[in-house]
Amino acid sequence: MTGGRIDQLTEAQRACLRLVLSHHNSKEIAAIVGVSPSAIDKRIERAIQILGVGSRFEAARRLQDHEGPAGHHPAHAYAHAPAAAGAVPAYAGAATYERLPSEPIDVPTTPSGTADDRASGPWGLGHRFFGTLPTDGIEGVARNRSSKGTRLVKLIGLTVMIAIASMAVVNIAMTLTSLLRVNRTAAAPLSSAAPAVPNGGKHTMLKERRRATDAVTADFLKAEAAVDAAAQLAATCVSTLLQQRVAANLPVSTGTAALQMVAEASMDIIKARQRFVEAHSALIEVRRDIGLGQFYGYGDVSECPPNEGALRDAPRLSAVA
Amino acid sequence: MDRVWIFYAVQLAASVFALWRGGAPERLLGLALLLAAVSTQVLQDDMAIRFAGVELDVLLVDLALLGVMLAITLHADRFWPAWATALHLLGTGAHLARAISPDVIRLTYAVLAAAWSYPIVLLLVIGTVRHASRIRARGWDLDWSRQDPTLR
Repeated sequence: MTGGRIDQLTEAQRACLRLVLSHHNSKEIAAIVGVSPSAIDKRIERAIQILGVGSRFEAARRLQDHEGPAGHHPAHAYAHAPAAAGAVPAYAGAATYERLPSEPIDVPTTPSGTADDRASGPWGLGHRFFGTLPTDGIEGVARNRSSKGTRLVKLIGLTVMIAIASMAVVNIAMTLTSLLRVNRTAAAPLSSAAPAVPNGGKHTMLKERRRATDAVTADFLKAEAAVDAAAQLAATCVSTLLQQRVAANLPVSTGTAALQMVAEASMDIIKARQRFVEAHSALIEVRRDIGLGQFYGYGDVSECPPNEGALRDAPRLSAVA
Repeated sequence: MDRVWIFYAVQLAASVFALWRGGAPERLLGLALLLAAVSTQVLQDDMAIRFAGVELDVLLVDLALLGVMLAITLHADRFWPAWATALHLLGTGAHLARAISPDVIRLTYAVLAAAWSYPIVLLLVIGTVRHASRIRARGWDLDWSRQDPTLR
């Protein structure tokens, strides 16, 4: 059975396996045979597959067992000997197949793998763990052949790439969320927007426009003041919570979640207040748009500070009107 | 705190798998990740003020882990540690973001610092599986690139 499989090996594969048995790594075999190390690896891998064994040394030993110790296999083992000798002139005598002490390098680097001077020494466990035994990696070609500098550059590139990609994902998610939210509010009935345009007629005289502006202004200022008061109250509430905990001699962790929520609510109110400040500016723009800007004489909208400025002049305007 | 225990289970399973089946880079990172997770748990502040300021102890653990991962990236005969290190670098960057901008709210800080752990664990498992399959296929797999004689 195994013999039949060994028969399937090509002479090139056999030559490689013999060199493996005489303790040469892929690089050396490649130098001897005159092809690339990866070609040697392929040959040996193919041989391992044909024989159905676990490692190249097992394959080599299988071949040795099959061919006998000193080439006593008349039938076919050396049928192509001239070709092999031509390929490996210096190692034609490699048929001695001595077993070298360091042969078990084909054993996978499992923690219980190699028995070695350093392995049995005081640092043996460490060397085994870190894979730094002298027998580790005697054979084999590195897959990652980049220098340290290249690796660093790649690492930085990867970091930037991942950061950008993940930010893009977050952005997409946020955009989608806000889009869906807009759709939802658009679908909901609009109740508060209607009174914002009390006299929205076709022929709007200057006087009517002023009246409309003043009505909006009055309500707007009330709302603005209410939000401002709410912000003050919420901030006071946070402060009271903190003070009362101390006053009642309660542990620091008491009511942390509630405090956090109140503080966040307070922040939200302050944000709402900020919206009013922005709306304040926007309203001034509206006035200019409907031709009332001249009465409010403010050129730069953004210069309007919170809770003062153009809107405070509203009573004067109504007096004019 | 189910999420925390799920993460511990995942991390422990991945580390044990890496220690059992992995090469030296996988073993090293598996152990380092496990130690980092445990020491973060031990060192982090009480829940009341957790992530309220920069978590100095956690930052130190993260930096130590970053050092280990950087060394693995620079020496291992692998490609995946670069990805894992990049992810962890971003996680460590959360501390920096928090230190620079106090506006970063606690939850954001926590998510930024922790979210990268899952892909790192996934990478560790994938790396271990691939190492094991290489061992199975050809009988050897370099741990460190410098073990290749032609690179010396």
